[in-house]
Amino acid sequence: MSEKASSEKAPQISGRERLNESLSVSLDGQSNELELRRVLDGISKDDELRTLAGRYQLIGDAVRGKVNKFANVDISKGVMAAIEQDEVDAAVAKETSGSVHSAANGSVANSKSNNVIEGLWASLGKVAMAASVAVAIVVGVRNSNPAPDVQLMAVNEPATLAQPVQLAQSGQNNYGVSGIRAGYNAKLHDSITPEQLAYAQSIADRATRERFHAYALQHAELSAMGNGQSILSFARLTSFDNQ
Amino acid sequence: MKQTQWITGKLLVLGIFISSFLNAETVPDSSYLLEKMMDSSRNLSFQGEFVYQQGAQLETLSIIHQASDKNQSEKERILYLDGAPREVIRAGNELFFSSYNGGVTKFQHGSLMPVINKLQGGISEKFYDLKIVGIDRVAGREAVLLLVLPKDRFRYGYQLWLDRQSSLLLKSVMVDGQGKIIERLQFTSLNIGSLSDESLALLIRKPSVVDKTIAVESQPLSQQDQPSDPLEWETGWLPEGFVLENRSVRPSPVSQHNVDALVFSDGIASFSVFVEQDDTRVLSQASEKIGALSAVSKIYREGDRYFHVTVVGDVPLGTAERVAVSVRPLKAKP
Repeated sequence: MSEKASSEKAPQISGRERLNESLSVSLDGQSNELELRRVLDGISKDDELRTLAGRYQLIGDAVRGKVNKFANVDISKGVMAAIEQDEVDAAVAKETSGSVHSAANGSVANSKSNNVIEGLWASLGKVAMAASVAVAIVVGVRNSNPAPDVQLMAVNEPATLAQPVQLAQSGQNNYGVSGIRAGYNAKLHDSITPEQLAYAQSIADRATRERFHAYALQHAELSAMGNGQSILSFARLTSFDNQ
Repeated sequence: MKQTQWITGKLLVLGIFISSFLNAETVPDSSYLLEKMMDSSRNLSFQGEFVYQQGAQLETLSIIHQASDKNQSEKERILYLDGAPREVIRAGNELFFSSYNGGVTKFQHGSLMPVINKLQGGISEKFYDLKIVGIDRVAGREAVLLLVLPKDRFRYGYQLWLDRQSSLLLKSVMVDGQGKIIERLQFTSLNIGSLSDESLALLIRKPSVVDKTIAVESQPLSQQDQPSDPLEWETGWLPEGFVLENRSVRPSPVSQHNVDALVFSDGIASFSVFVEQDDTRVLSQASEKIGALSAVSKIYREGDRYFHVTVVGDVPLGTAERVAVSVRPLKAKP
């Protein structure tokens, strides 16, 4: 239904409003593939939304204990502050949450719908954090790079098709969907579906991915200008920017 | 059918014969071949089409390359033939990357990028086993097949098919430590020599509208008189054989800050290290494999300032991670 609404209103409403609409719908777990894609695309172009997506990731990282590995960054205070802020936001969101649907229809003033978005993000952050704890327990820590010494050259072996190359998928490999589901089943929270968690994960992944892709282009440029080896450098960018 | 078999058989016999011949004498030294490959890719004019495969993805691209001569600088055009149209135009010290989604990005260098450490010939041989294993045919051309096997686990291995006449790269297969194929590149057609007028016209057709210009300043390492801002960075650890090829400062593609960019190469593989100040306080760390590229991002803290360290390159993820954690500010010289 939301899609119908958006297509009817499409000519009148701004891109930003439509994005907010899509975002709230996707966080409700009601969006279809197309709509989700639009949210993800919007996130990569919108600083504010990206910051929020990033904040979710910050909390997740801290809870997973992934921080401090090398920089000894004292992050805990920042995280606590972020969580408190989120709770305040969430409280605000509660008051306005009744209007989510009207916001989704694009008929509510801009500032108000922004509040709703903030609120949704805030509650999402909390849930995501809870989920992160669960995931950490269920999945445990994966050891990276058990590099074997064998260096065989497989001359005519076909490239394996089972190996996904997309970043989103490899992200899920680390804290897999099954882990998220397990956390959900442990009743740490009642109102969030695994689909919504997966959305949250993919949105955060998208922010990271954007940075990697931007730098991959920079790297290709450096290689091409530096030593003139541009064929492979640029061919390697084929997996990006092609959707 | 019968004829194909006969030809295959003949090729095989020919290959074996020639390879033993090559091993026995004349011996185009394999590291010389590699050098010649790099050299030819810059100093020959050619035009062709090639396929590129990583994982389950297969793409077709075309390339036109014009060598520099007295009158003009080196020029190149790479066109992605599948999916959303994308194009790379390189001319002298400018490079344009046009994409359907991302618009046109222009990289403008103050001068041609100076190479800080020119790779000495033979450097590859210390870190790779190089072996000429035979003669093959790729894109209708006779090719020498060269195996490039890493001696440690900090880099990938390659099979390279080099044009017998010019040593241009005709086909490349990159494999990881388990022998699994990571990427494949293969020319399907290639013409070496002077370019048609049509191709030349394509080479000088620069995008008329530029959405984003990235001005790159190369910094010679030697002339730092003052602790500049952003800080200068260095790597505490590098896999043996990798040397700093170039460092530059450029505006960040993702923030308002400048980025310190360092590029390292061992003559075959290369990776870049990017460091930029972070003021979002969104401290995220991640590592991903994107096709043949490994990408790692870490946070470095200096006082109350935070920096994003990003390493991207065609090296195993473990290598990129080890480099990323070792990145630190360049200490003032005593």
